[in-house]
Amino acid sequence: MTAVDEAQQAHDVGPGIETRSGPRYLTGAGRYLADHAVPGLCHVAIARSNTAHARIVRINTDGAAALPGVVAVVTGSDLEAMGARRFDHLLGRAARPLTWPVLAIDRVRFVGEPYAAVVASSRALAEDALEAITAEFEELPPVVGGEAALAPGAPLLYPEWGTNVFLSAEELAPGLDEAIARAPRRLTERFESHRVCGLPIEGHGAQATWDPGTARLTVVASSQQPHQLRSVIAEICGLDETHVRVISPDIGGGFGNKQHFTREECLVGLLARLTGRPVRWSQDRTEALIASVHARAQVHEVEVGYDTSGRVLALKVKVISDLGNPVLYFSGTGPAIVTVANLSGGYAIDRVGWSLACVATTTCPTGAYRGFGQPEAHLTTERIMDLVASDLGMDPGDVRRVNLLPDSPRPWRGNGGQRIDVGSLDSQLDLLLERFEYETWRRRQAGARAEGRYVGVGISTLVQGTTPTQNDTAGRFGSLEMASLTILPDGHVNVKVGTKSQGQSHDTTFAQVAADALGIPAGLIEVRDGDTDALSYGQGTWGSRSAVMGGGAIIKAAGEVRAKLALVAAALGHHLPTEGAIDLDVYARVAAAAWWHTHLLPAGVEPGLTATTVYTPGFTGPSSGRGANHDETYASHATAAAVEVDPATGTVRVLSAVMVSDCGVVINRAIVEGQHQGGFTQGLGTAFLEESRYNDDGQPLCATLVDYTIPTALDVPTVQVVHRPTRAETTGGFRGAGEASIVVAPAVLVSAVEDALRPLGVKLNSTRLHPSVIRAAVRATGWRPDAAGWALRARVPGEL
Amino acid sequence: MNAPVELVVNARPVRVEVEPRTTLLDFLRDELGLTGAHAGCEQGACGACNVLLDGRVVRSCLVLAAGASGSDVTTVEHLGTPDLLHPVQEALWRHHGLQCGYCTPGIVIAAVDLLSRIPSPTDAQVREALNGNLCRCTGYAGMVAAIVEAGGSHDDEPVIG
Amino acid sequence: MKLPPFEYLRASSAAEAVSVLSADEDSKVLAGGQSLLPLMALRLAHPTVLVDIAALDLAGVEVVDGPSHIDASSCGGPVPKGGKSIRLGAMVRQSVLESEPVVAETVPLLAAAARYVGHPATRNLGTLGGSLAHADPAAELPAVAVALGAVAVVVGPAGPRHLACSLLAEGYFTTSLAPDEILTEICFPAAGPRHGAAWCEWSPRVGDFAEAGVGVAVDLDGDGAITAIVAAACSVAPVPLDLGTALADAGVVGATSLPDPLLRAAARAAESAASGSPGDKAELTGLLAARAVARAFQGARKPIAEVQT
Repeated sequence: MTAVDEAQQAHDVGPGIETRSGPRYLTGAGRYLADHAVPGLCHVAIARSNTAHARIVRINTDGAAALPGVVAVVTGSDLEAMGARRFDHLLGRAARPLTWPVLAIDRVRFVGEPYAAVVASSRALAEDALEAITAEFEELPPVVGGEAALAPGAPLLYPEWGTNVFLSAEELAPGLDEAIARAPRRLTERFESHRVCGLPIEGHGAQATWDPGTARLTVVASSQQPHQLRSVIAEICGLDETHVRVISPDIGGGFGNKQHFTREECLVGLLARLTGRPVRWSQDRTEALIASVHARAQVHEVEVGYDTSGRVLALKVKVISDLGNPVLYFSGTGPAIVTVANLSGGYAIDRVGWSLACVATTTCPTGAYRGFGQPEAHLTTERIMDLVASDLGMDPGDVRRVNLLPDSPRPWRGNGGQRIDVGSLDSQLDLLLERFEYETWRRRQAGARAEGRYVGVGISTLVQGTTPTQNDTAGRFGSLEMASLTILPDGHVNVKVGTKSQGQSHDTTFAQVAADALGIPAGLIEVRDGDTDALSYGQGTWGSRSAVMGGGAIIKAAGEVRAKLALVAAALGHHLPTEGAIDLDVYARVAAAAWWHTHLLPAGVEPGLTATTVYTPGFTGPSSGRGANHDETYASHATAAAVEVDPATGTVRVLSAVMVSDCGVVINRAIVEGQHQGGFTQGLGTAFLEESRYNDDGQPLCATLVDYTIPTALDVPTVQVVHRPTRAETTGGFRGAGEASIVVAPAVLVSAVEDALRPLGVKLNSTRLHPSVIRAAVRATGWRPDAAGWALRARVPGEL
Repeated sequence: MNAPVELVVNARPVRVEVEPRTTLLDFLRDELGLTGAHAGCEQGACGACNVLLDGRVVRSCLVLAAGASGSDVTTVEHLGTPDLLHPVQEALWRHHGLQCGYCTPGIVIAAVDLLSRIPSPTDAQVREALNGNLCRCTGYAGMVAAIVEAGGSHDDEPVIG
Repeated sequence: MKLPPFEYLRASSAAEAVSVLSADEDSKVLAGGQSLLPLMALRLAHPTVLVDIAALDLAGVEVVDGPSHIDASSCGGPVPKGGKSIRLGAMVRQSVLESEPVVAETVPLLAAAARYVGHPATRNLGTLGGSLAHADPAAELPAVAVALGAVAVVVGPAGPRHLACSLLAEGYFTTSLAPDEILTEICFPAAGPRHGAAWCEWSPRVGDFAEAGVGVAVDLDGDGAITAIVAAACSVAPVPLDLGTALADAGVVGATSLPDPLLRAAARAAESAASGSPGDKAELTGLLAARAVARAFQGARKPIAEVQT
């Protein structure tokens, strides 16, 4: 594979970097869920458990129902009495039997689990009524943390399973243990990715309207996957899919948090039918933090065999994934399955094996967060490279060079059957070290150490599967995308696509893609998404898939329409080429003729200029056996970061971060760089600030934004992005760009911080690098701050 | 008992009665249909609901509509239109200083407030002023550059290093 | 979440406010609302009536001669002697403390600390009096008031009284104010001619509640020797922790320079004073105290105007 040539890069010379949605959003004209007021709208507030684990003895809603403004108060039993069905993961892999009701009926298994709901004329009155619901719970013992849930005698969430393990799987390469035992060097470690939350600034929510005349339910939901949400709402509400319309309006961030198909989205549908009133539930911030979707929460027990050249020969990983209470569609099993498929990353390791235990605990369900299992895998691969380097006294870049996938063959077949189609990883690393000025940073580091300062450098070489199939993770949904493209009589173009933008500016990038494919200016093109009535199917936006899948579907549709354009043009005595820019005067005449002057069309040429297509690269399938592939394509990103640690406070400052990016053909540089900067910031938040903490009683400790702290403008560096694209085999040559930097950041920051603290011998094997953790780790070495030195420093962390 | 509210909102007088617990945020959104200020947390921690109250940035979720009576309120809708952006909005657009747009109105308001106090802020001053505005998408780089530029500062203070 | 229901009263006089508070023990004063309203939005506070004191004339900022207006007999603590004072109405916004030049000139520690209170948007409404009456142990301004020996004016059914700010906070979010008393004014002694002050705090993110914060102010004599030091810490105890004596005893008073051993002694003294605090806050308090001493001293050696950054 070669670097994209100048002609191919024409894609990224779009109509400037300004996004189309920008002016709307900047002037307050965005239309998010809560901006969809309709006459008679009622509001839903949800009663949630204050107890981590309890049997529900009784729920009394009489007092609440009698309050002013209250339209209805329901429990889970009430909903089932009206026909509500239960959720089922329908996973592709064998798991314990589990279905769950829209509202908990017999038991609650995490603080925040919903057990009753109020519909009232205002949200305030609905919340007043919540305070009048009385529930009697018989407390049961909580269990917090995946390892605790596996311990003998641990309280069981589902006693009928006889265990807390919801799903277990194993894939061990033949001769793996022997290869590790025989290896010249071995290491055994435990790596942890701690529990965090995706936390879009707009909370989740949904608004439902029932039309009794057509017996149709319309749900406006802040959902990343409106079409699959339609399927699930139809199932739970007992409707067929033609009688459910899902609209995803402007979305105030998703990050996977809005990827699941939730109890609440189905609840509003049921309540709209029950009450005959339009109803809205807007997740409040505390619900978002304790009762939406947590993520990561994995422990890896790792055994590695390697030789003295730094080459990793064999890798065995036992993954424990804390699912919380897995009553969330596909839950944390999805990310965990992705983790085990990516444990060798971008490295050629002869033997790789893993076992996976997905464990139920009495905490908020875990599930999707941007990166979806890959940050956990990447932490392990990068920690291994660093530890091997440290053990052998090698440079961490050199150890990676020994292990990176060689430049050929392509595609490379990974241990799990992955069809890895990335460009040259060696030359990507070379470029990184040059642009980052690696040697200079090493000199600066030495100088800093001489002054008693703690500066460190971390490296990451990521090969990231993008555009996954859902066969493995969400059971029945595969990998495809749909688009429809119509040239209207005035020459303007309607594009509808089944992906769903949540801030990625698809209206801009897909207009660029369609413009390029049609050979006309992007200004003629309008892109729409997020309405199941406008486009019959689609699979939404997640997994770095949209450019590949949505872009591919649009290019395919544009190709069909463009062929038709040429045909009609020829019939009119003109020539329109099927590649490159076209004559817009001819184009305009052809557009009008195709719809209006149909008598001019030759026999056999249907009127109109429209195509609806379904696209899949077709490289994936269920990976239940070896030789199957999970991702349609792969992106590669080499990243380096320099940090300074203040051991006195435990604060880390990122001094420099450089990322060499190959996300395939770049459609819009500014948007790709925005994704990298934003994702890196989220990953930095994971490492330095964020945690969805629980105490031993299963009480969440981070229920407000005062306790769950995400990075502010004062906490982040500007990531320097170096584009080095190579064309993928996908239509359009895209690889996907949305997740790379959040996968990279925790691993590269652990690496850099550990490197900074190397003179103290601090070892860091968790993504939790919060100041208190660093302080404790440093103090454990016996280090103590010198108050005089600290007092006289020009600047210390936290100072304005 | 309802409480009277008498305000000037976006240069227009408004006079109504509301339930005392109505926040300025809910009042603007539900009574006046000004949905530019967003409910990000309703706990005063995110800044998505920022408006100018008598010319200074406040969190409208931490102001009672009744308590604001007698004040002048400016929301993001009053600063510019999609066709005629305010210079701060224009700069944010050019620098890709926004993605999903949910925190964006609060950022715009905070920036306008900053530039009214410090016309040509440095990178550090912009970051300090945005400290109370949470953005989950952008990583702040574009918005900081945009606001520095909107202030016309040729500050060369590095972001890092 | 939405606020729970309550009655709202915009008081037109302190007497009216006090009478409403007297009549209903579940009523509550609304000052800037930047701490109270979040608690209500979480439905952790359910006041029956909010008595808004914004219409009372309590936003004055006035430098006066001496503390002579303070009634020492009722105040319960030491009254500042001589010099000038600054009288700040309870409803003076935190942003005014941060940006008003007269505050920075008269009580530089107050101005320095104000910059760390919440965020710009909350400081535009949050008030000095509200912060003191809320008595959040993590709040900066109560610690500054304790350090500087400020005196509050409190109005209740029996009229006004004076109260040393060191006697105001009694524990977590608890004060010695009666439920029907309103804090109306706070009087700070004005800085002398060779005065320096510094507020140092640390939290994982700037703008969050500090894990620890220390304010220090020093006065120098004509020879540049430290003649007096006052200091207090927030966030390390249920109430502001006075560190003035500990730092003075560590040898800071009388010093004409701050050699490393003296800074270390200051840190040890503050750490020891904060030894009852949870986790590793005591060590952090020591570091911050040493830094605040160094910076306050540095400030006192320069003309005051240069210190304000």
